[in-house]
Amino acid sequence: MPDATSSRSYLQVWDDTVTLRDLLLSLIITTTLCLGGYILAPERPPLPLMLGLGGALLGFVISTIAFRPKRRMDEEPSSGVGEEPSSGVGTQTSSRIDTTSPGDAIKEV
Amino acid sequence: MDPALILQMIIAAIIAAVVYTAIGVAPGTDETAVLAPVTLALIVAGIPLPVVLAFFMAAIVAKKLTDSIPVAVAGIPGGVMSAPMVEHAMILKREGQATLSIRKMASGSVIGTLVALPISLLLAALLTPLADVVGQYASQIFFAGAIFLALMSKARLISLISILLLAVLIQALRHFYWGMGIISEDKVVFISFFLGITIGPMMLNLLQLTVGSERDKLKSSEPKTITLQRQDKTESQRWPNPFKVLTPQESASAAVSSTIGSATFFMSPVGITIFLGEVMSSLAKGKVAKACRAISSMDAVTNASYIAGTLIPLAALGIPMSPMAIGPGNAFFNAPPVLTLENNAHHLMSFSDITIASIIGAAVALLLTYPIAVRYARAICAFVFRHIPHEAFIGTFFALVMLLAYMDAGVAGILGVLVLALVSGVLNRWGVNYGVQFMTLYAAPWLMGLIA
Repeated sequence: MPDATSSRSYLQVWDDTVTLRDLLLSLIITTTLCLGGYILAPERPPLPLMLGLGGALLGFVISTIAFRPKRRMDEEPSSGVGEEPSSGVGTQTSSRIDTTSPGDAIKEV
Repeated sequence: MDPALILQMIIAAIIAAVVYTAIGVAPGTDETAVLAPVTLALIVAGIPLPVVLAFFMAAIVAKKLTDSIPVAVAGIPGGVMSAPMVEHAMILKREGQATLSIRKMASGSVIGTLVALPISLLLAALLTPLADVVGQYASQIFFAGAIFLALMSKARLISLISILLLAVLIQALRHFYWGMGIISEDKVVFISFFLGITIGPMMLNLLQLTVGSERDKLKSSEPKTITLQRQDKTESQRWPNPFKVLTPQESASAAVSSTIGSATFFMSPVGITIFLGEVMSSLAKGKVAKACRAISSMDAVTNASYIAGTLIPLAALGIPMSPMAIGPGNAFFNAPPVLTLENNAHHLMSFSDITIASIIGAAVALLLTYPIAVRYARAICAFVFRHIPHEAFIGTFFALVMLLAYMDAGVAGILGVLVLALVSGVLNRWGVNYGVQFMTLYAAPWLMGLIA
């Protein structure tokens, strides 16, 4: 978990909230891995580019694991008003309530 | 076509569909910023062009299908193109119809894709004879395109002024690189400038953080609050047939909008989307019906204008003559040293290669993303919002741009990106759209040649 003391203030960057500390760390980690992979790779194309892209991907994974998203999720209860679909979908309504596994979704394609 | 190549295309399309389903849901991810660097990297890495095209097509179809989902579920756009839909989707959300909203939008997407593919290929076949003429006057056409897009935009005056200013900056940087001996005289820096414009808005945001007074403006004491609408379980069970989800009138509106959106491939997709959405919704009666008509048509147009904007210039013209081709799809036209304006994917791929790759890409993304997106919309949003921090996206795209700029012109390339990104980020905030800026990037050598 990121710091609970220093930066309770969030920043709006690119349409979402981040904290300065996590943003800087993520930029540094990912850029270092990405450019480092490219520069340190043996000079046999396309190895440098592959290692560079691999570095970027690794940076993404590390940032995802290391940092907590700064979003608050509120869950609304399912609709009150206008329960009846206005058009078109009436025939589609199924009476099953249970959730189906993702596997079924693919099978039906 | 070689079966091994077709298999590669299918695999590439599956990867793109999965990756861009997640990116599509993430808030604020701009189409150009998330697609251009990746496509460019794949082409420069030497991956066969049909495979990259299948990847690209699957990516846009998947991203277009999913970037409207957070609009319906949480009222926040997943990309620039879904921003115009927020207003209409919020009406449905307030009525407790988020599930209906998602289904209408996704079905619109499907219709847009199904209409745009054949129409684009047909238009491409009709426009092919123009390719030679267009090729000869490319610079002038880009200049005219920049002026046209500037006049069509809301910020007309600054857009027109910025054509000149950006052209000066771009050519000044090129001559600086040549004069300092950083780049040999026979090499023209392009990629790092392109990326500079692409990540302009994000870079400006990041640089703002280094200024105390600006940083205070971006501060907030609360994290972004996202209100997730619960999906109606009974309704989300079945695999919905897009043609049954939409009423016949909505399907017709979506199809007509897609056709117009494809034919106007050279115009700004956002502008066309807003315009057609308003026209189509005015034909319906009642609050909910109007909103449904608007979002289904709008989602259809965004798909159509993206597909047409890529395919028509690619198959027919060989120069990136649309906001789409010059933005997210630019790498197919110019990715030195692999592709150049004179020898790019248009010249290296046959019409049938382009057709097959596009169909494979679009089909894989539709079959994979549509049913999953429609049934698990809420779960996908919840997963991305809960588990993927925004910092990870910013870090990754920043690093990708740095890598490509470094490959283009070393440390000077990175500095060039920063300079151009600062300027184009400010221009972007003032309303100068990507289309104007990218057209200027292409027209700059010719335009500055006039005053030399």
